[in-house]
Amino acid sequence: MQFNTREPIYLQVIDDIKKKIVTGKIRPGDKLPSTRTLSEEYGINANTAARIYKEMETMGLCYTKRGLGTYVNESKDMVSEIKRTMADKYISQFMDEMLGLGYSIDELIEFIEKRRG
Amino acid sequence: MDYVATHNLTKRFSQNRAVDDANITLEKGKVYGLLGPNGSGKSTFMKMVAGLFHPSKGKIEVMGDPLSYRSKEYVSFMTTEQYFYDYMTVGMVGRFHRDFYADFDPNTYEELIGEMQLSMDMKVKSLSSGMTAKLKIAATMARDAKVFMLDEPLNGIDLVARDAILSAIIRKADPDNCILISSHLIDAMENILDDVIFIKEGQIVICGNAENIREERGKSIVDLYKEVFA
Amino acid sequence: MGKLMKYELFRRSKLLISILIVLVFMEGAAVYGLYRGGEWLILFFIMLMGMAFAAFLVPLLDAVVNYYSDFKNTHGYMLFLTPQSGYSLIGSKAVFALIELLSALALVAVFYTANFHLAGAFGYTDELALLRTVFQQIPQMLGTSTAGIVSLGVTSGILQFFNTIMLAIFAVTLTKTLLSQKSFNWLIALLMYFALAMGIETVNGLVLTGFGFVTDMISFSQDASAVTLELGDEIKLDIIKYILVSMGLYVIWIGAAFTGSGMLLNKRVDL
Repeated sequence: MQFNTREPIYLQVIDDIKKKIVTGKIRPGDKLPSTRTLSEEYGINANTAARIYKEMETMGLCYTKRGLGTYVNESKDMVSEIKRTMADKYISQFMDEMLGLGYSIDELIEFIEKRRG
Repeated sequence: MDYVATHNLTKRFSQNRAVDDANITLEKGKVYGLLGPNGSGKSTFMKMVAGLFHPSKGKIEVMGDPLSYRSKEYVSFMTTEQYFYDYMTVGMVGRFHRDFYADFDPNTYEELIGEMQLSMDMKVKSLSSGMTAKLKIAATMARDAKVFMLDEPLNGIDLVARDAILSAIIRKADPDNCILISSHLIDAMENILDDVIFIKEGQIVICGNAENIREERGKSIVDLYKEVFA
Repeated sequence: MGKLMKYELFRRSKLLISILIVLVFMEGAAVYGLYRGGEWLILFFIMLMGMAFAAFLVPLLDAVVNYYSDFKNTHGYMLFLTPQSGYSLIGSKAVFALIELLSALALVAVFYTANFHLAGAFGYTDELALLRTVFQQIPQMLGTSTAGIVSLGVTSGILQFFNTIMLAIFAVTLTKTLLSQKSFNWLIALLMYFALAMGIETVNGLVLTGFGFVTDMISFSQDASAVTLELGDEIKLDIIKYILVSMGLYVIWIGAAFTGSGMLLNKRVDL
């Protein structure tokens, strides 16, 4: 995965994992890879990998069972919650960029409608 | 206990201070990047910790003890230069390491040699510079050392093999060892570094955690490097 | 240290085989000279001397050149990165050179013995008889036996060899640790060796004088009976004593050079 090295890498990996949860590649209750595997998979430092799971735990996305591993939380609401939060973020980004170019909200809606057909 | 600690470490060559008053600690479980342009003192610093140069001033401690020949048991150092005897084969290089380093694992060596696409009966004399670079990595990383120091590990490595090397480094890192990598290929290294140490004309100018730098300054390590060394 | 010596051996395997071949050729030439006789005996003697000379010179040069190369070339890192003390590194090189010397001497001894018997077979009975007499009488004159004089001579030769090697190693170590020269280090090391060697010989001389060497030599040459010395007479000069004193001195210099080199390697190396 190509990282934007101007932003913390751990956040970018967390986003990637969130996407996998939303699209069903990882499901609630699934065991997440060990920090070692995670670091090898993404080509990152092992401490960064550890921090990722710690952060995700704080965010309520996963929990760690000592000696067994890290598991995705089993709450059904969690997936839709993540999906919604990410959607919010992308929409905000999109709107910021477009409004920054000078488009109005109505023009935004037009753009999207065109794509539907 | 810090695995490596230097106090006012200085190395003078004639009038030139290659390393000037370096106070650095390396903790276990971390991967450090020693970053700076050519001639900034990275190699000299590492060679002092490895016992190949003696300090002009200052002290070095490895695993809590003052630096001595015994410290070399804990330190696995890969220099930029080719340092194997010409008469040896790849296999003999492995046997040599097994004879002198208690933490050398011949099985890991065999694996790494395979990964690097070398073979045990190749003669050191006949290796290309790229193959020699890979052999150095294999020999260095087949040890279960406490302190790894890699001086420009990506030099002479083709783009395709780079990932293999970086992957080998990531796999080697564990809570019981520490790794110090010097490189000027910062963009390739960024992702795997915990902390970065910038060295400019022999002096340590910045020491910090890479992710914190990204979070607090919104800059990549490459950006910071360009700022410091512009 | 044994492990280090193992790799010293591997390093030189080609060289050692070449030396072996050369020595065998020299022996072949010697036998030929002996066989032809007459003027060809010169070849015989030259080969014999050459062999003995080579036996001493090759291990010495070999040890010093390889040691120097370990400093000069980056392959030395391989050695200096190992967790071995300076004493171990130096010791392995010196002891290996000693083993090289003893092996060479053993081979030369085998050749000499073979030549001795061949001389008998080729009909040099008169010369051999004379040689035998001389070898029996001279030790008696000095107050010891053939075995005694031979072992004294061999030990003394070995100590002298060891002394030269340790001194050369020390000179190289000094040059490469204390002096920060960039070029012509080998020249400086050579000069330093000669300076040290001369210094040591001077001190040796003084010590021997202290033991009475000079006065003994003077009274010996003034002694009337020395002029008409014949085979079988007793020599009133205690040469044995002085050889022993010299040997003792060599042991001291060897120890000093070894300690000095080891210490410098431990503390002051700059590769």
